[in-house]
Amino acid sequence: MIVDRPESHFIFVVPLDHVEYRYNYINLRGAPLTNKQYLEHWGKWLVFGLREEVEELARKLDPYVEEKKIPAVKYDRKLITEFQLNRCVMCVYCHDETKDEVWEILAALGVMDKAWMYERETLEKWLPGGVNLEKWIQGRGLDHEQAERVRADARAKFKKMFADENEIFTGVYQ
Amino acid sequence: MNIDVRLNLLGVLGIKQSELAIDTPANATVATLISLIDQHNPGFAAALTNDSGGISPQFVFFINGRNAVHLDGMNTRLDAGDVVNVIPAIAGG
Repeated sequence: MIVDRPESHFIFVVPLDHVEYRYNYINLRGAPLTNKQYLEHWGKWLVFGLREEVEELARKLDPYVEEKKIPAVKYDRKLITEFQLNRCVMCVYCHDETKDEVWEILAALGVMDKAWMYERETLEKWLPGGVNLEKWIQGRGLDHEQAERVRADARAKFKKMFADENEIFTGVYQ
Repeated sequence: MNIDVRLNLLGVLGIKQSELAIDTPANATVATLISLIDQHNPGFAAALTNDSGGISPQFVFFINGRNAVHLDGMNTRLDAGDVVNVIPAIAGG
């Protein structure tokens, strides 16, 4: 189902089971991933498009998510102006062992640009010195002290989230 | 040999053409491709490479969907029919 929480920048497509029964879609063949497995294997196909295009694709992907052929999808509610992009980005999540099957679905729905990215790569971009975090800080015009606080928060959050590599990964609030 | 190149979201570099079919020599690499594109889009190579001649962390090159950083970086060999996608790194979620 499409989950549109106005307070979030992202709109999600997740199984109804996740919303109603806290089904953990970050799994491989039903087995939830540990923090270590998440960092090593979880990733996404990136899809780019205008807001209307990604919205239409989200509607087409929704049944596949309900069937659990695709674990989850998220996309930008609007362009992030700080990033100077002229397209919304959609992330179609899955384990790397199933990424070819997921790509086949995307290709059948007309997606042409093939771009796979691991979640660890994205997380690294949001750490101090990472391209996303630094660009975000720059875009917000934060002063040195504010920027350092943001960097420290990012570092602490990452450390806390992955402190025990054998714990089941519990997700990132977005 | 022919390589299809898609330059996604590169408006910030002032590159207007987003899809290119580029004829490359045999044994071409990502570095060869960047050099060929730069001939028609001056500044492309400077923007997409870092000081040591590697791929700039500001951009990601996908060769048939795989990040070139996890292949052989600038030395990644290209084959006829390959599809190369270039996106700003910031676009990855």
